[in-house]
Amino acid sequence: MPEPMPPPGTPEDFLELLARRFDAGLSPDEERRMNERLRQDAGCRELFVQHCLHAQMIRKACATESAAASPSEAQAGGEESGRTDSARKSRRSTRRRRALEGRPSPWKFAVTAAGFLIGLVTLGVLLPSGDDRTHAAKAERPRPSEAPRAEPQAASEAEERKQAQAEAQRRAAEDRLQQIERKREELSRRPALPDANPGDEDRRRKEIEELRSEKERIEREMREAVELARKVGAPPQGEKPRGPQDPGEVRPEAKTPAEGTRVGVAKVERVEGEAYVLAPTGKVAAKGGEILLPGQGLETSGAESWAVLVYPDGTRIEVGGDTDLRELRADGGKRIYVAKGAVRAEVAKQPAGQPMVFATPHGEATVLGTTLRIVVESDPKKGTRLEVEKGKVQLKTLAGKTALVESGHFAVAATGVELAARRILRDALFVTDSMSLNASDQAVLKRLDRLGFRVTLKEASKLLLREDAQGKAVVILSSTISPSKEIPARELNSLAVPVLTWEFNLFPVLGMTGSKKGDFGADIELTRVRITNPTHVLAAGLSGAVPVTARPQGLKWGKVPPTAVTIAVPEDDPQKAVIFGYEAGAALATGKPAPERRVGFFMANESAASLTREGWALFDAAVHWAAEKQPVSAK
Amino acid sequence: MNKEEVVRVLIREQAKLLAYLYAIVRESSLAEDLFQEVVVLAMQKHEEITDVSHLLLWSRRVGRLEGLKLLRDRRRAGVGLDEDVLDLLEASWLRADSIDLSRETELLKGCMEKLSPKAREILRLKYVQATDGAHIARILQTKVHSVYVSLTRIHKILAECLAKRRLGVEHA
Repeated sequence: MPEPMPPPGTPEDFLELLARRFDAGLSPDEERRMNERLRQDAGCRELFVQHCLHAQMIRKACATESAAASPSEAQAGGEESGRTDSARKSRRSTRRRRALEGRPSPWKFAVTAAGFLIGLVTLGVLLPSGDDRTHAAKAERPRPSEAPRAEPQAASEAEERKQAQAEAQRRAAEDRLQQIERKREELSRRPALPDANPGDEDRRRKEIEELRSEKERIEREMREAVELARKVGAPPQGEKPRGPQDPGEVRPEAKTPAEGTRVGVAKVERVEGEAYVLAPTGKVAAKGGEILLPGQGLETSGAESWAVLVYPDGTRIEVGGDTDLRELRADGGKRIYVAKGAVRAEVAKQPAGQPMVFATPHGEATVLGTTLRIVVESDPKKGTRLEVEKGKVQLKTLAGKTALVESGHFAVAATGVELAARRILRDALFVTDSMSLNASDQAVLKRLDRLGFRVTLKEASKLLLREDAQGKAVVILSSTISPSKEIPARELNSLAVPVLTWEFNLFPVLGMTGSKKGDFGADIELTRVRITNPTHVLAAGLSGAVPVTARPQGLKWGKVPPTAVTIAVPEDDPQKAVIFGYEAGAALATGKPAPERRVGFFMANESAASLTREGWALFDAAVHWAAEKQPVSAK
Repeated sequence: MNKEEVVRVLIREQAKLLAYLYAIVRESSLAEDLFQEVVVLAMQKHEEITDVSHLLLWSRRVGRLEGLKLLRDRRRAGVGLDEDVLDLLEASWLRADSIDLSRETELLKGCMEKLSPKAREILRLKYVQATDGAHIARILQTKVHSVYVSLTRIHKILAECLAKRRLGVEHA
């Protein structure tokens, strides 16, 4: 927990407050003080805006450096040269973690910015057709089989001359811009003399205006040159077409002479651990810098293995361990078959009508430009899980059902699983009496895992509630814990994290029911409940009387005020709620506002081991609602 | 304004708009998402936008509404800036419209080169890798508070260096 800040007084205090605000965030009290400071102090407002601008400029400056260094990154050049081996190793493992956890890569900003710029340009606003770029790129790229040896050399020299010329022009333009800026500043600073001729002042203004126009023109021309370079698909630095083979270079066996004449689809940028290029002639060890041809694939072997593929347009695919990619294609749009394993992809904006397709044994994801993660399980019941970090992706199952998955959502294409886009959840804290889970808690843990949670399991006696709950989407308290002894009531009832519990003794502690006898209990032996609020998301689409457990259970209940949402009651006693919830801010039974969503659920200690399908649907809905996970409509 | 002009201006002013959106949503990736939305909306409304200053004002307004909506959707309302404070800040953002951020970034690069390797590493972790302060502290084996203090100091040094370079007092 952040330490409470003293009331900010100096600019330094305020800057430190800003550093904290744009990191872990401020407490409501600190945020209130920040608002007050901004309200009262114009200097702070300037500092605030300056801080945000600087953050953006630093990002841009670092991204430029990073992009410039990236081609040589694999060779441990540039920025890497100053690092120790352990630092490199640490960075590699961070990358691997990122590939698996879906965290942003250090290139993300550069790639995103470049991709977005190109994307905007190819939106059809500035250029007539997105296809031109592809065709131009193909036309420009020399094919070894089509040209005699002297031609690439001549072309290369001509290309170098052109580049040198362009570089000279760029430098001249930049020099001129600096001159203009200096002159403009000088003219702007020159004070108007009281006895000056009005004509002089007009001339000064006119001159400033002319300089401004010239500056704008030069900047426009430079931007257009950059856009033009992108449009014709100039190969990135370090990716010059290969000349005659280096005598010392060992060509992979998979590349037959016939294949060597085809245009590569993607490049293997990096490899760690075991990875193989899959070709019709067999598989050979993959190496960094290797070009994958149409129809080839890549396989990583071992959980720690990792590889990165890059396409000429900047599309980048991080390949996790034990992953099998096959049939890479680029004609009429990129296509890749993910037979198993995990990939994370940053897909640059694709030409109109030519989306990138990730096919899997369970369906296919169609992408126009986004960042996503795909995990393919061999178990058809687990299927293919698609997570979208940015943009939109259409996921289609083998049955032809489609779902549009947007930024921050995921969907699963699997046997027996409804295809729907759902929000990606972060973490859940599951508190039980011990780490040796009973069958019921084990079933809950598996269910949470299947729902997409990263679950932190905690033994109640070792719980540090505030610390452990920090950053969690939901806290789930099992009925196996002994709440009165193990969790301080004060911490629990003020916890600003959604809570789901089926421990009836916690209902009054959390303020969800009164604390007197008859306000809550666990004395109803039932297998069915009656849904009283079928339209609420907590009802999971169910209505009427539904079976929730296979065997009679002592269902937990509570008597709740009208400010709570009652979802289900015993068939013969509508006063006792067996599934109920409170919205954040709704008045609890104690009259105090709920710090976050609260859900009371009917399960007993062993119930989860014998929940029916309907029982699990209600459990899922309870978790979804508590953690704000709303299903998004599927087509 | 026609679509082409709208896109050109927004690309040119992307860094400033991202800074504005970052101020509201506090996460650079969210700011990037919002920026894309603003561009799409601006292209749809291009005929109603009269000139560059109108476009910038309009973009901030739309970005602000979308940003606050996003925070509400993510249940982060109540931890942001108050509406009246955002209104007050508008004057400062308006002044920032006249700043040539490309030039400022070039100057800033020079300033960053003068920082210590550790300070540059903190900036890289914070702004390129979007690493949070606690994680940076673990990497650098220091306290989170020290990271905040360092970031504060670095921002201050960079601001002073930029001011000097703008006046031509200090050259690269």
